[in-house]
Amino acid sequence: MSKENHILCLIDDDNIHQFIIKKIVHKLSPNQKLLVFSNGEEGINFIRSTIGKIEKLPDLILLDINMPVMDGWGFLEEFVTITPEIKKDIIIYILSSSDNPTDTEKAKEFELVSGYLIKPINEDQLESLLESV
Amino acid sequence: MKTSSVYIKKNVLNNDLITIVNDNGYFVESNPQWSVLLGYSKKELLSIPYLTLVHYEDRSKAKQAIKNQLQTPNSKPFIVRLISKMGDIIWLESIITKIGYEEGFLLIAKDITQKKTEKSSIEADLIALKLKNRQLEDLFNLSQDLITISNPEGYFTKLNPQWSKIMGYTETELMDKPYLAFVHPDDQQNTVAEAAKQFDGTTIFNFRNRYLTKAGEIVWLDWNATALDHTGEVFGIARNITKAIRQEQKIEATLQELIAKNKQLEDYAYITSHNLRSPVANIFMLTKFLEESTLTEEQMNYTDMIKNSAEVLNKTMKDLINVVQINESTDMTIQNISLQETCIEVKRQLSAKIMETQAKIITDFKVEEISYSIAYLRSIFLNLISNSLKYCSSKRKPVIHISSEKVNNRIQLIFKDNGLGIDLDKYGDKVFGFRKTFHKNASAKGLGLFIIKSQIEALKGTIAIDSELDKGTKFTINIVL
Repeated sequence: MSKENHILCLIDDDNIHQFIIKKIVHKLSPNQKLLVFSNGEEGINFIRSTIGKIEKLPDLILLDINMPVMDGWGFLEEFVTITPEIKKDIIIYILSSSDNPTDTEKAKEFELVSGYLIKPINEDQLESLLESV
Repeated sequence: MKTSSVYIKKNVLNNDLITIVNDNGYFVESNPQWSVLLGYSKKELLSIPYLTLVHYEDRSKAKQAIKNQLQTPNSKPFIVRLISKMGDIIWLESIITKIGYEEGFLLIAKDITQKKTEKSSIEADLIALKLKNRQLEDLFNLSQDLITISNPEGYFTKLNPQWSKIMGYTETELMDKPYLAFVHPDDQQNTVAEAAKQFDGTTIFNFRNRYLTKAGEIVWLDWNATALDHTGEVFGIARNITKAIRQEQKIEATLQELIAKNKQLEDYAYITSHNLRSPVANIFMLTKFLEESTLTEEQMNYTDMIKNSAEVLNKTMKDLINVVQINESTDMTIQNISLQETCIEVKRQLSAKIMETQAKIITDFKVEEISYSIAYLRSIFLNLISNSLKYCSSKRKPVIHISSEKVNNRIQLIFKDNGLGIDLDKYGDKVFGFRKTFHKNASAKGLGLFIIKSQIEALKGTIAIDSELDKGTKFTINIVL
């Protein structure tokens, strides 16, 4: 079962999708900590500001691609530059509704991306993801 | 008479022909040169009238000349042709005078045959040369190509009329400046380099450059040129290929436009699918939550309907994406594939439906192995067999015949069923269309035939349909070897 002291993070601009993920996560494990950001910039700003506080950094990030302000790729590029300072293994999964080969191929170029999930994600998938952390 | 005869006899060695002709035109005496030249013996000569020896065309001329000479002493010698015994033409330049105290006339003639024939052959050569020159001039003037001779200083020295016609300048204007002045500025450097090659004796083939007309329009020329000799004059022929180049450019532009449009369409399909998929995915999850909450029966029904609608929407989007992806060359790897094995695989895939309909699939592969895309071949088998199963007649158990054989330089793959058939008179041109369905069947999406046609055509093959309502349908696929 998922360890509740782990922190899950969702970066997605779609409110309804945020709601859905919150709901599933809550259903799977009511006390699971979940951070939600509406675009890449909000996400990267949080990580920068908490870079020294390992216990507050997420363990698993679900990252959407198409977002305003800073999209998923922008987030990953920023993230790469600060990884040396992050003293924690953060797992990143892309969670997008795009199955465009140019997107799936591009995701492979980022070593720190562990996988590519296509929406909608169901309870079982999320559960095994949480367990893998 | 005696005096003359003696004179003639003495002149045995004279090269001139000397004779005395009597009033009747007969030779009375002649020196041996006559025999030497004409081949007649002296006796023969004395028995033939002089005029008979003259070429028939020259006889009246000879008569007239003799008359003139006798009337006007010291007039110019006359030239007539004589015919030798052998039939050769002998040109003689003659004078004839009255010998005062004797009867008859003294005729002195000089053989000018050699001079005459030489002259005539030179004349003939000259005439031939003039003719040739005129023919060449005609060719030069009539040519659709641009022909020119230029000097080592880089000026045109001869131009055919086509130049003025195409360039809009007069011939004088064109010869007034170095030809480089008429070359497009961007091509001048190349042209200089290419012209330099000719001084090494290189003949240029298919060198392209642009000239500018007087009106400033670009003319594309395709050149063949060669140095004439050590004088450094260059002979060049250029073809005006402007039209062809324009055509090429137009085709290239159209192609680029098409590629861009196609890319746009692909992007459009992806973007549409992406933008639609997000909300559809949400709807799926939300209806799931709804189902898990407490609902009245009516609300339950609505939820069901929403879910079904979302599923249909999702499927349509996936189909759209599939169509776009056909055109990408991902699955085009050609390899040797067994038709039998492909058929067995697909049968396994459709086993439930085959059992349900109790269908019989009979294969007869006269050609067992073909070079093809494995994904496409599976797609063909899957779509055509599942179509036959889907549209089988309720009156009889489905029987599907699949066969292959070599016909000329292609392989024919035939799928034949005994199903419902399609009214080709009504739908003939739409059978392979996108999202076309012809039966009131809920699971018909109208994509299978569209997809396999695209796949077959992508591999340069063809597919044809033959069908009769309530009898069955036959698909013939031609695979190019």
